[in-house]
Amino acid sequence: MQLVIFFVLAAITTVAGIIMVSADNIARSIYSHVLALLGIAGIYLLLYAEFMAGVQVLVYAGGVSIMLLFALMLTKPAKGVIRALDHPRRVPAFITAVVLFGLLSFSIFQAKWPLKVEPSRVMTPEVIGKSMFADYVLPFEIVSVILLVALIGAVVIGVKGREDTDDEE
Amino acid sequence: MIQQYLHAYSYIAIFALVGLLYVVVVLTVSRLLAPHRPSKEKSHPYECGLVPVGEPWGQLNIRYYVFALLFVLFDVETVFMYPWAVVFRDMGWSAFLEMFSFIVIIALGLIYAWKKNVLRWV
Repeated sequence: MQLVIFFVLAAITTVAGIIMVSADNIARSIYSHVLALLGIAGIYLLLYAEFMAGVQVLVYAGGVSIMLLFALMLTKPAKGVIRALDHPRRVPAFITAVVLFGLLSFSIFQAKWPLKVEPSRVMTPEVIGKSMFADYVLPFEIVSVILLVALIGAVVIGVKGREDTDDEE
Repeated sequence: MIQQYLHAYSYIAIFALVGLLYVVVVLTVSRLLAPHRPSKEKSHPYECGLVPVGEPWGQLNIRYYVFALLFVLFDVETVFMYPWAVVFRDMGWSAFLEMFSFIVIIALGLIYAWKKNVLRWV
């Protein structure tokens, strides 16, 4: 049963990923990106990582995808026609993909996976919270510093963009 | 345990399936039943009855992007508060102080944004 669910989710994710890189319209590829992320969230659920699945839906399928759409809408639209994406560097892309696939599958088959998760070890937010606030306090606080860096970076970019648009107006 | 776990999420799967089927069925039925007589007026994009103005792909102001970025950042912050809220009662003051300093550090960024007037719209 779980195997069947896994293959359905994997098929959805893979097909969405293929549509994402091959679509001619960039908005379409963003939407299939969302579908691929949701499929991965489903696989997380299958691995008993409930919290990860929730985060995946909230942050990636929700926030990050919206941000991608915003970024798309910030670009200057092509006058009159909506230009189809061209894929000029197919050969280098193919070589890169094959090399990356080889490296990743090599390391996946090399690594020892101490798996077979016990059903009792479902990663509830409680388990994560306990380890986060007892054992991983420093990484947790470092996350806040990283978020601060991103925030200041966003503000700097925003201030710059404002000056640019003010010039145009 | 596993059965229960999968059961709980089968509702989501059913919801997704029904939602998908609904779209497919409605579109198919409409294609089969509706008469197909296109005209220039009918193929206009629908904008509440008004004549559409401009291109569908309009350029947005960069200010939207800052708000989107800020939203994602605080989205991530909120994500960390879920496990915190669950264990808060058991762990007491240490968890409180840890989350407090976490929020204070991010609030520094918010104050910076405020001082730089990025939060002001006009």
